[in-house]
Amino acid sequence: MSISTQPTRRTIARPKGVLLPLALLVLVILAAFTLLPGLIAPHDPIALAMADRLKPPSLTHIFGTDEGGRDVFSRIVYGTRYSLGVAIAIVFASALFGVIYGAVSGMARQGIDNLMMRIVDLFFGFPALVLALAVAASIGRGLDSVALSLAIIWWPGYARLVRGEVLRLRERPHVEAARALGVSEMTILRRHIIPFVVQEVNVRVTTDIGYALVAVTALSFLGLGANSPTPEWGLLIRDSRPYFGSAWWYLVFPGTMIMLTATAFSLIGDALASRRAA
Amino acid sequence: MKLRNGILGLALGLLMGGVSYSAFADDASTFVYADAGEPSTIDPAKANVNWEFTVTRNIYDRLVDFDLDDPSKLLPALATEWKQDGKVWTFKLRDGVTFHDGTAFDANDVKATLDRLLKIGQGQSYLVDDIASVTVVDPKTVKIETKAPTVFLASNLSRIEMLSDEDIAKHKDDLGQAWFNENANGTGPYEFVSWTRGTQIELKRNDKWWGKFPEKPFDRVLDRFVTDGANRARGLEGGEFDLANFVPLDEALRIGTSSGFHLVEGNNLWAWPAIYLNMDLAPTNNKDFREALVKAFDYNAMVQSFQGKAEVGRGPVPSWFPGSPEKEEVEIKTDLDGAKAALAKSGLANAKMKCSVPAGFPEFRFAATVLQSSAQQLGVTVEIEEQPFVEAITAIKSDRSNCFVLGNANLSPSDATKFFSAHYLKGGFYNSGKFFDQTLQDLVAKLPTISDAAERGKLLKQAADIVVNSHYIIWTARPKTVVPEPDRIGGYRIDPAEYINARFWEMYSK
Repeated sequence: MSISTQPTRRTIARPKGVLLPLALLVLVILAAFTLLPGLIAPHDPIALAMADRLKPPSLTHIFGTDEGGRDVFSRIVYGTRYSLGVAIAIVFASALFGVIYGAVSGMARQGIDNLMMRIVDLFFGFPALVLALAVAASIGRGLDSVALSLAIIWWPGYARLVRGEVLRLRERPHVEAARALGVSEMTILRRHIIPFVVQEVNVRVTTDIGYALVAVTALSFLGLGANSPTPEWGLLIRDSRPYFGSAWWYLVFPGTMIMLTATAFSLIGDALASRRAA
Repeated sequence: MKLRNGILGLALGLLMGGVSYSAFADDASTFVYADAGEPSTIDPAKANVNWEFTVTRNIYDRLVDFDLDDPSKLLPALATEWKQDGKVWTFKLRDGVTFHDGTAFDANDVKATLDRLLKIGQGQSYLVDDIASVTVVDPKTVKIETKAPTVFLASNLSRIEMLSDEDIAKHKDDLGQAWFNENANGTGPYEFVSWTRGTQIELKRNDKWWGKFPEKPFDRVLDRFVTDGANRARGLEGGEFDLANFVPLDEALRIGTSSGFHLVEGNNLWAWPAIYLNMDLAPTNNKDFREALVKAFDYNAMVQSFQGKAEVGRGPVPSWFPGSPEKEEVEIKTDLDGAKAALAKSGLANAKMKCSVPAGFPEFRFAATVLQSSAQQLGVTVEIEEQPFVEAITAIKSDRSNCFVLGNANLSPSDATKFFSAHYLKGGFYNSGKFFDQTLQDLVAKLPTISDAAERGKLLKQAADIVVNSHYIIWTARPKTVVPEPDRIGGYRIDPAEYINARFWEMYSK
């Protein structure tokens, strides 16, 4: 596993045409789903309605219904806060810890830096998703265990990224000048290094949310995430599999939502990266 | 970028999973069966799940068979005659039967098989655990003495496969468990050829079998391991498989009514799913609380989820089973007012409980969801936790969970006491909620000793009433077995004493 150890220096083309506005639109919709699910979802996402079992998309149920007659669209709307919420939490928690860890490592004496980086290497020594599966399985099923297991594999990437940036920035003239003026290391870190590092991290965070979403839903799909009848997107796909031949909508719409969300975050991340490179 | 690639690879792999089966049945004489799992053993003394029975039932024979249309009617198999005299049963064996390795079948094989089965004490041994001794009278006659008179011995022997005493003697160190786990030498209609781990078991037709094959039988059988139900359905529909085990019901109905297929339907012994309530852990240790759950449960939702191919049971013994008291039992149906009254009596308003569900069974998960939704109407919160089977059953057995979801059945075609032994008697493996009633224990012990069917029926009703009135179990539905069979195949019949079965010796190509 590795999230790149070097700050993004490659040239990333800014998404062209309507792609970026579309990605922003998806983000707005997701935000609305997360904040106002009760206003958007037309049906109860949990209550059974057997008379409507596995009904195809219609005006009443625009994404069709599942094996319990529940509205798939409503379940997707309510599921946003679980799937996307957990993905965002994983990336933010990883970024926060990784930034602190990487900054301390980058500013520390060589011996401590070496030790801290060897610990990071330990995490890189395991195949990332196998490690996440093992951690989640040992903690027990649930979205909280998925979040913890993915955060555990995610933070070392940020630590290495930030440590590399700190090492580069600490040799820059403005930092050398501050040091010559007797400014403390903590103040240098806070005022002259972290603000630059954060810009790199912002780009990474944005694109990582999409990847984390795919990882969360994958672990849920494998049976390690949310429990029924929580409308988490990966669980929706897992539950839909026995019915794929007779109810395509049940699998396709949650799958499409995952794809659109991951793509939107990726495009916005690219846009941020290209703006920063420019 | 390895992490990202890994995630994308995993996602792609999950989407593409299971579409790797590309070999089609190469000729009309080869039958490809999509089984729901790979056997952990093909030892008949230990086999206990359908995908193990697929192999053992076809390679080995039993002393007696039974009529699939009337399970109370026994038919000759390796034994041609049998009679009961008190505790002693005498079986006359068929002449001219040989094992696949050419050795002759005789009474020593019966004795060695039953002695070994009872020593191992696994698999289906519970069906014949009342055997006290087996005596070889002569090569074609064997006497079996039971601990108490039992009218059900011959019926239960219709499930017990006969092994070669020479094989047992040759591998006696561990009772032959290592050898029989992965080798097989029976007298049955198909011979074991090979086991390719993770892929398939191959069988070939035994043209020296004593029984009769239909015209155009299958000379070769490939028993493929396809663990995902959706993949079994897709493979069956696409022609890759000739028949499949446990096709999800919606897919079975869709495929079975499409062009080139027909549906085979029949009874089975299962209450599926059945929800076991923990008798030792609050709040389900309160009888009134359990009654509230039983009465609140939305049975119609379950029947609808089976698309009408199910009924609601009234007790542990299905109505079609020989001697079943079910028709005299009170109908079990949703009664929300009764549930509220029972809950008020329990004094457990707003109670919370946890339900452990073995992962991988959509019907189990759905039944738990229905319980959750039904209980919510009473103000009771049910937390559902899907876990691997062993963890789920351990959770309720060790009082970490209030309920557990599983099927509820037995494998005997006419011995109703076997419904009770594993599920409601002390020490029964599936008695996960630790139900105990001494009267029931005594009744079940007494039932097989009674030769008068009417008297037996009376006691059986008493036994069933004890379980029903305890509200220990919610029998959510009794689904029918529904199997889509391609029109190019004939001969598939449902064995009512097994949820899904595959009697390859009865099947043929058209």
